[in-house]
Amino acid sequence: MPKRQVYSSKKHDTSQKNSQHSTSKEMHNELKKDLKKMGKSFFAGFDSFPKALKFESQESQEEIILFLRRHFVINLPWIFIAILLAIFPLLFSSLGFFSFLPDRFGFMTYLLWYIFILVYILEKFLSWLYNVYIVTDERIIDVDFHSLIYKKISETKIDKIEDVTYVQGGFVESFFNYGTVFIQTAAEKREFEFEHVTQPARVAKVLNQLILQEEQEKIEGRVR
Amino acid sequence: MATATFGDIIIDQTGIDPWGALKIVYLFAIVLYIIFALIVVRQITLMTGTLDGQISGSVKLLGKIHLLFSIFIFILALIVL
Repeated sequence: MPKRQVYSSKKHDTSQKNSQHSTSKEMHNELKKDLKKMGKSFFAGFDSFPKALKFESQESQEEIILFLRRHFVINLPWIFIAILLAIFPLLFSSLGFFSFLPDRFGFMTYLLWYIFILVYILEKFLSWLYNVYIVTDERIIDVDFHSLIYKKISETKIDKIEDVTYVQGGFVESFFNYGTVFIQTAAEKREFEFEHVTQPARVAKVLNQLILQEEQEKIEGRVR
Repeated sequence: MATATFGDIIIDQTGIDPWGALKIVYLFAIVLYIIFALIVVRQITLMTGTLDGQISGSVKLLGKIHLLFSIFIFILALIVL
C-alpha cells in the first residue's frame, strides 16, 4: 500500500493569522495575486478567477475563485483500455476470425466495434470534462455527472467549512502533484471531496484563506 | 462442383437467411447508437447549461457532429448490407 501524506488544518488553527491582515478586501487581493501567478492548465484541471465561466446557480456578485477538475492523468487507464480495444480487430483479422462473414458484414462488424470504442471514449471524456469543483468567494460547489443520465450538484457556504484536509500519496500523485481534498462542513452534507485535483496543498490553502476572509467580512459587517 | 458457403449451410438446415437476420441485428445496434448520440446531445446541453465556459461551444458542436455521424453510419449500413 502506498504511503499517503495527510495534512489537515482546522478552522480555529488559522484564526490567529487573522490579525496579519487589515481588511477582507486586502486579503482578497492578496489571494487573487497569488493565484494569478499560477496561471491555468486545462490538463491539470486548474483555473483561477476564470472570466468566461458561469454556472447555473451563480449569483450576480458571486466571483469564481477556483475552477477545478480531476487531473488529466486519471484518464490514462481508460485511454489505455481504448487503445487496446482499438488494436483487437488487427489481431482478429490476422487470425482470420471473421473470415466466414461476407466482406460487407466483415466491414460493418469492424465499424460497429470502433463505434463501441467511440461511445466508450465519449462517455468517459464527457464525464471527466463536466465533473468539476468550483470555489467561489461565498461557497464551494461539487458538480457530478455520473454516466450520461445522472446529475448531482452539492454546495455549501464557506462559513460552514469546519476542517480542510488533503491526502496525497503514491508515486503518480506525488509526481504529477495531485491529490484529494476533504472538506468537513457543519452543513447537511458533512463532507465534500475534491477528488484528484491538482496542487491539493494550494487548494487547501486557498480554502483556508477564504474561511479567514469570510470571518473578516463578518467582523466588518460585509456579509452578503 | 461449387462448395457451400456458411450462409448456404444455415439456409439449408434452418430455412432462415442468416445474413438477413444479421442485417437486422446490425441495424438495430446502429439505431441504439443513434439513441445514444441523441442522449449525448441532450446531456451536453444540460452540462453546458449547468456550466458555461469557453469550451461549451466546441463541446456542443462535437455532440452535433457525433449525432450526424451516427445517422451517416445508419445510412451507410443500409447501403452496404
